Amino acid sequence: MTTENEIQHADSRDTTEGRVYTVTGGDWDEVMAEASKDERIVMNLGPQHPSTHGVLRLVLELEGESVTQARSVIGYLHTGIEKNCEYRNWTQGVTFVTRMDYLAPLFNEAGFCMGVEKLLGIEVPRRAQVIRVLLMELNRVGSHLVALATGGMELGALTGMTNGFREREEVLHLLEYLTGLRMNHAFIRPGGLAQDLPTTTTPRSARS
Amino acid sequence: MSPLPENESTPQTGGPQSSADHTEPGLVPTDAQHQAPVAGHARRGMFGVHDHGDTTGFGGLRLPAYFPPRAERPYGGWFDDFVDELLAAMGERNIPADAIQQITVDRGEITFYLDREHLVAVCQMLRDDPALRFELCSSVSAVDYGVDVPNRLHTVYHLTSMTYRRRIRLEVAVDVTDAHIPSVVGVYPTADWQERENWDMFGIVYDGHPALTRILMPDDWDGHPQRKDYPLGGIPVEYKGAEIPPPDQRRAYS
Repeated sequence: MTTENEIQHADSRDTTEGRVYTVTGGDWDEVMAEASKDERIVMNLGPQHPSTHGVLRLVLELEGESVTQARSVIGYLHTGIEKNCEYRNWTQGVTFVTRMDYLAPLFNEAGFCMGVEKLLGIEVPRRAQVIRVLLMELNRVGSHLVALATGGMELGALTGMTNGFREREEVLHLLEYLTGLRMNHAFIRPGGLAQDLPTTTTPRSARS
Repeated sequence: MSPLPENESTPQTGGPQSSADHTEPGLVPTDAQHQAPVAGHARRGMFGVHDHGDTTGFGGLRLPAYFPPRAERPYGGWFDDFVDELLAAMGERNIPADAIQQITVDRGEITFYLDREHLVAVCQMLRDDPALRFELCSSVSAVDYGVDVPNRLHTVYHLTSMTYRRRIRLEVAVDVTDAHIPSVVGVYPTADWQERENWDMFGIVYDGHPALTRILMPDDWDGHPQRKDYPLGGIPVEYKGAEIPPPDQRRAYS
């Protein structure tokens, strides 16, 4: 037997066949709201998560399996380059900016040096400008090869990864031959370059 | 890049505003620029070396106080038309013309020094006015001009107009004792994290920001590292029980 009190959310209508109850929605939402409050978790994701390379931490608020809020915490790669450069001259600044992105060191050097040159009102010799462009192009090829290689890696194409890094190695060999280092070149300097290219540049580039 | 105004295509060095060597009176500004909203201060040497023998080789360097010159018409290039449009739009929206404290054209780039009270209104207008259309706020950064400089903290906004392929710079200067600037997040949502970074690094408070918390430094960090009076390497580092003092407090061998 059911009584009126037990069916609070059901409307009823008396008909010739008897009393008919209409059960509608509404109360179920309240039940779920109560239940999901108990499942609210604040969870920390990273900064060691493999897909974030230790540079991003996410603070997640979960209700059950749904992420209701996410707050990203960055700053793990902050190295205070601006503060360091307050006590250094502009030539020394190149040493810092070349380390800002290991895939684009020469671009960072060029950007920094062009800013300094604009401030000083310097025009760089044409030969230095051309060499800068050539070095940046080599750097770009190497960077794109890494993008392709890691793209393959994410898809599970391990041969794609090793092939990409193998070809990038050629670029790095060439940059080592031209600038002295595979990375962290500090080769582009305000006003031009650290030094001229080796005299045997052309045959070696063609062979690589 | 936007085409440079013709007179700006070859930057001139050694002018009165440059940091090149000047005679003694050059260190003290004498003209009306002294009242400019933006100022630096004269410096000698480099790297803050004052009290002992100069080993840097820069001891003879003398830098005059920096005052960006007020630009005079014609500004050159698209700047004149643009400023006309800007002033007209400000008139339409009842923004007083003196909201722009100064216009400076330097190295082919135009900078507007703004009153902080009208910053948000000006940004809204720059974004929405069909003759201006600065849809993108490419950067919000800050500068500290150093101790004892009036209005030493500056916030710099770089705006880009995709439609007209133009870039301008807005600059707001505030004093360190009242470092409050209204937030432009409502107009340019991309300014969110950059204003947080400026708060973190320079201690500028952006009133109206949705969540102005530290972004790069740890939450419990003391001080704002990119202020000029914040020491380099200012905290001792502990390693395996031993304390390594900051670089400026280490034993000297000279």
